[in-house]
This record gives sequence, structure tokens and C-alpha cells, in this order.
Amino acid sequence: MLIAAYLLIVVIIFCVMRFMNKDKATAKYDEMQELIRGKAYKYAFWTVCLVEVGVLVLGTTGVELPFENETLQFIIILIGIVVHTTYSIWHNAYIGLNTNVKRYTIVCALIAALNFLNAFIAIRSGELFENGKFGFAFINLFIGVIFVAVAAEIFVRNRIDAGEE
Amino acid sequence: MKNLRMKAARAGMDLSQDDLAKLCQVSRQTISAIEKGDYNPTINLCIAICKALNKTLDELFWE
Repeated sequence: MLIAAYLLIVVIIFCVMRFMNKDKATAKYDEMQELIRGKAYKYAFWTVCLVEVGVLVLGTTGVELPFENETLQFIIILIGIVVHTTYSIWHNAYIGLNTNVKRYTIVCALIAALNFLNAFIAIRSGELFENGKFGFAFINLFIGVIFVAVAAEIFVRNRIDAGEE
Repeated sequence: MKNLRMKAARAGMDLSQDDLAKLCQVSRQTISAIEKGDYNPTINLCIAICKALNKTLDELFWE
């Protein structure tokens, strides 16, 4: 049953990606975009490493962060994703050549809305905190904020680009 | 270093950066970066640009 649910999730992700891109499920990038995305991955990787080490060091000094352990690990991964997307967007390598920007924006808005809804439900039912720390529901809030920030960055970048040529 | 020869050749054919980008199957920002000298294209992209603008590699990219 669980395997069927996971398979369904994979199929849904594939369909959403196909919906966002014009001719195939994966986004296509040109050579300059690939180069920039490579740098973005590099920066994201080192950011995750640094934050992970920072958290470990804080742990040894007795500083307790207000996050449950699995929440904290997920947040560190999300910080890496933020670095990657922000660097890519500001260097015009985030939107693929075959990406339908309008559909991409719709998907971003939907994901943000779903995550905010989940976070809101968690806040209402008091599940945002577990043992006095931010629980896994905090991830929904964080992802929602990320998607809104990504949309805002794309909008600003496009406005800057519009008056360029 | 800016590639003014490429910009002039493009303008001479009355093409926008977006038009040339579509002909070469790259993003407009890539064409812009090449013209501004912010990006050195691979030989494959140089050839694609030359074909789109009816120029030789020497005319557009050789010093």
C-alpha cells in the first residue's frame, strides 16, 4: 500500500514537471546556464556543509537550537536549495529554455498555498511545536516562504532584464 | 572584452537578441552575456552564431 502511494507521488511529480515544461518533463538549459547551475550546486553543497558543521559546533558548546533534530536536518537541506535557486535566478539560469513561465508560476503558487495551509492547520492545532521546539510542521511554513521568495526573485529579475537590451 | 562585431552583425540583420537566441537555441541572456564579454562561448555555440548571422568565425570571434 505504501509502495503504491510512493509510486503515485512519483507519477504526480512527473506529470507536474511535464505540465511546466513545453516538450519534455525535464527542463533544458543552454551551455552558459549549465555552467552557472554547476557553480550554484557547488555553493549550495558548501553552504550545507558549513551550516552542518556550524550546528555541530553549536551543539558542542551547549547552545540548543529551537528545532527538533529531523526538522533541523531538513532546514539545512532547504538552506542549500535556497542558495542554489537564488544564485541561479540572479544569473539567469533558473528558468529552462523549455519552461513555460506562466505554468511554472501557477505550480509555485499552488505548492506555496498547500504548504501555508498545512502550516496554518498545524498552528491552529498546536502541532507547530513539539517538546517546546519547532516540529516538522515548521518545514511547511519554511517551504511556503521559499516558494514565495522564489516567485518574487524571478519577478524582480525579469523586470531588471526587461529593460536590458 | 565586448564583442561589438557580433552585436553589429546581429543589428545588421535586423535581429534582436531574442531572435538570435532562438536561432541558436540558447537564452537571450546568453547572447547578451557574449556581446557584453561576460561569457566566452564554446566553439559549438560560436559556430551556431556564425551560421545564424552568415559570418565566419574569424569575422566574429577572432582578434
